[in-house]
Amino acid sequence: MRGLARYLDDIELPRMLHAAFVRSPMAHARVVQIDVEEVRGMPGVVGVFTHGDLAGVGPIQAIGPRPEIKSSLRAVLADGKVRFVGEAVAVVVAESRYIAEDACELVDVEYEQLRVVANARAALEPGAPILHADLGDNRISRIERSGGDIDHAFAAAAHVVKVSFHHGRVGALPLETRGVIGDWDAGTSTMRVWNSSQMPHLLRALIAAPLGLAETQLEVMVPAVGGAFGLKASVYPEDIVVPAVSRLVGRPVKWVEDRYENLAASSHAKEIDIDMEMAVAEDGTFLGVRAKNLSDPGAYSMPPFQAHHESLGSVNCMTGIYDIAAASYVAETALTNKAPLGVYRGVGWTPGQTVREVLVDDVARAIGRDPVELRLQNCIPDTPYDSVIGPRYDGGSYRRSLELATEMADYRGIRERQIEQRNQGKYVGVGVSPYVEPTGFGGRIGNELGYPGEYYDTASISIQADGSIYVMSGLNSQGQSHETTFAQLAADGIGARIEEVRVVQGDTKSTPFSAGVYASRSALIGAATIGRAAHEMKRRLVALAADMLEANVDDVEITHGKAFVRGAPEVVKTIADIAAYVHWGGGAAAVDLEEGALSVSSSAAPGGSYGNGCVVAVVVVDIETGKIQVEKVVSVEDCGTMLNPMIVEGQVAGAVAQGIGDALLEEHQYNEDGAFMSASLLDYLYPSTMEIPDIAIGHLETPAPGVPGGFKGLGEAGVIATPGAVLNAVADALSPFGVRVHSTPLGPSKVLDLIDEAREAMSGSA
Amino acid sequence: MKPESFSFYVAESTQHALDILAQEGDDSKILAGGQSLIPLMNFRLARPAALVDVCHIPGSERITVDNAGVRFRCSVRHRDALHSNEVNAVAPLVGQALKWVGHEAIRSRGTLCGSTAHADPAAELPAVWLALGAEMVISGPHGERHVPAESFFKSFFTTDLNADEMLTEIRVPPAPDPSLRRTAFQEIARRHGDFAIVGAAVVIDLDGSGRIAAARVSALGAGEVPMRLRSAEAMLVGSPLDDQELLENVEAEVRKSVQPPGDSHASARYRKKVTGTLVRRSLAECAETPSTYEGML
Repeated sequence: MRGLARYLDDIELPRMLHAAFVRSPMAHARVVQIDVEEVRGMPGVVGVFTHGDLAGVGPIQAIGPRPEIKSSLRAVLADGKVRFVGEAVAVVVAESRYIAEDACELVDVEYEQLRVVANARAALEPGAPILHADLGDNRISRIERSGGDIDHAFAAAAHVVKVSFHHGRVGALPLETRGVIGDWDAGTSTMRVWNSSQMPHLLRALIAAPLGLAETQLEVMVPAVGGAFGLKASVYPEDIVVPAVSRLVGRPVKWVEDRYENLAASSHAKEIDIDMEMAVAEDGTFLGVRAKNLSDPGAYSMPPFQAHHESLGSVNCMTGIYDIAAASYVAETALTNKAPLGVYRGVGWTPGQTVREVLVDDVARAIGRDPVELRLQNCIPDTPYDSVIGPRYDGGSYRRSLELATEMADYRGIRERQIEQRNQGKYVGVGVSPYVEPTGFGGRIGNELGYPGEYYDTASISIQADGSIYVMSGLNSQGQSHETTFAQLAADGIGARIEEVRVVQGDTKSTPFSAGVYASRSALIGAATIGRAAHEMKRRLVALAADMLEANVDDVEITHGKAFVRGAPEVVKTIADIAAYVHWGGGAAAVDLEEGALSVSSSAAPGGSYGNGCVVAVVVVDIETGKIQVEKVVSVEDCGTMLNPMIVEGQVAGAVAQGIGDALLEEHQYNEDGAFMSASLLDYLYPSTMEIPDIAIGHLETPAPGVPGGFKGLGEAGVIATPGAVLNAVADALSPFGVRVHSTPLGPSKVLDLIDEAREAMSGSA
Repeated sequence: MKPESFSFYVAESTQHALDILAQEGDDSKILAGGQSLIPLMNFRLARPAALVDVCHIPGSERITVDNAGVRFRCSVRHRDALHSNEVNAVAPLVGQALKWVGHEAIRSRGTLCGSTAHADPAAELPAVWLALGAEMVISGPHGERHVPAESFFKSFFTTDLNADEMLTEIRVPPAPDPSLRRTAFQEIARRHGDFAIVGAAVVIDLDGSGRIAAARVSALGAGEVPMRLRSAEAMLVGSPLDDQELLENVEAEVRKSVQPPGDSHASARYRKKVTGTLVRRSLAECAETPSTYEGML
């Protein structure tokens, strides 16, 4: 880390202005009138705009991809109504951000308070205020599915164990907040936009119509991004308003989200209630699983992923690594007066995985079985397996990863020491959380999981006259080191030196179309597109070298940037020699001139693959203070062939840290009146290095059968699996009191409440 | 998240700072590290018209240790106190508490006097000053006055300081016999470096026979100001420190005596219970070992 990356806020354009937004302090209100007169004359203020001033701009459209999901619209500035605290009502453009913020305070908005929908349950009650009158009611999606004979499974069960779980509302909290610069070029009718986005092409596609522009009139550029984690994969009002006001004032306009805006108005995530029950045979066999959930997506459905994503994701993984013959779910979503829910690393899977694994531990305790043995008894084979309710796993190390992770954590040893330690007042617990997750979300997996849609990504490679190599990809890094892995893929495929490869990303004008970086897509799609292009480039280089060396193409080899005739490595042609031959020596005639001798584009629509692994957490709970110390985390992952072990381990560590935050610390809180209670980092607690233990990482490699190179994604696994492991470890530590853990986050105050409640319940039943 | 515009002064002496305060009036504020004030200004929760930076006053960074105890002048940074061997030799409680204050970057900028004058009820240092019987030296237009820590903290973020005054020094009196003094500091926070949910500071002076001659116990996060727990102190005097039953009785007494607020990080009930636990544990820590400074150096 040397601080040399250039982020959006480092960009300074000539004559650039700064925007600040007036945001709603109300959770639900009619906007009676907005008085901007006092602001217009302020020195340094160039413009102030409300919804009425942005005629023809917007709205943001969320088009339900299935009949069970309602389509909805969102005005880019409040159109007569505000629906959550932090919603943008007006924008001021000024010579500095300071002046713009001073001016925002003087915009006088008159609100008429409306009744607040404080949570998703309240949203569905008869007589609840309706957030969007055109939707009829607040239920924005309701999806049902079942597979196998679920009624029979429950009828045949010796035991039925049930949990009602609340997963708290969290946020992705990237170190760099969002930001947008709009720069309208009236001379060419072109809009240049810089946006700290995960998906430049998709963003361009989604904001072009609201801005009234063709995609060719819109250039989206993404500079270095300081983390995103899904928060930067939605379309927000500011993405449209900032370019729109640049066009109105005729000058570049910059807006960099501050931390309050980031906490209050960027996407939140993962809030959901899930009821899940398991039918279990006398011998511990899982017969069936049933789930009903209700997600709280806040006030708007945000494209492209929309409001139903959390609720559908959480049931898609309901059978996990277990061989269960019957399953059914009802997944619902109801709008409330909170910030909109977006996607955050492990979307849907985090609460779904957590609830399932907590339920499995509850089953184990209920029937007196060791939780690891019970899991192994019900585990699917490592060969491809079709689950009864959607996912069709393509083979992995489902069983082996559970065995390896528990070995690495010394599971047996912990169990042996646990009772003795309890007698000394030390409450140690161990929890496991094996997972299988869809990665590289392509058409095949998307359709299996109920997200209809196909993807088609392209990458290109071109070799310059000096032999240096461009890889052009629409998959832009937010810190995942595409600069390294994509260069590696290209260098390996071509036979070039990695030092010669330069990866170009984050620019819709110069890079080919990609749907973007989310859902653990980059490794698979990068490999498929760049790998194919590199393979074709190598074929051409070999043909050219054969021409130069007067040899047969079958005898020419190319490696580390040098081509030579096999058996005669003393005479070499470097890639620079070959490039010079093409560009200056007429060599292009040796290959297909029409295609562009040293320029290759390749496309792919990979179907995706399921990654898997297992997280084990060991915790110590101080039963007097409720303080939980995570002593150790073991993460075994199987991401198929590993592209780069160092980057794999970085992904694991970061995601495990976010998983610990999810389980123990992080929560966006609203009170019953819809007031936002987590407006600063004093209130929204992310894990620091002090809360993260050493993480032991184990690697297993089961190559993905349908993916070039055999790669699978893994960036989300830690956030998916860690919370379940941590909660199970806490419940295990506190099992002498009969504590069950059915909500996140688990702060010390809640831990003491759980112990007290469990003690009271025990003494009541005794 | 930008502050309103304000005037900025760098004071060259205490008198200079006082003159500026007098001239700028009630809307002026002393800047002494800015680790709380600047964020409040960025949120526009504080809107001072003028800031007077006192960290460049010559000699204001000085720590003096002599027969009269320890004196921290107004711009002594947390880090400098934490790393001072002299301070840790005579008043180890300061270092025991300071290692809980924020993170390295915060400790490098923040000052003892600044944090004390800010008077967050969950901050570590105010409770430390109560337990050590420290004295606040306040300079104002009418000269200097000395206020015991106990009368200094009035309510949430409010002290005995008037708008035209500044906290120029904190004085910690010497222990009657340093070899017979035991101190401990414990707190619970959601994360290391956060303001505490609750915490406890304990100073015990033993007599020659190992019984408690004097006890000062204070709590943070348990009310709108840091507080002495006098009923608990009274129970301790005259007893040996390693009396388990006594410690448990003190714990119960503390739980009875505090009336803490609840918030999103912990309920009132939690704070009540855990304040008792931490006082008991702090006393047990005093019983186990003579206090030495164990910092995170």
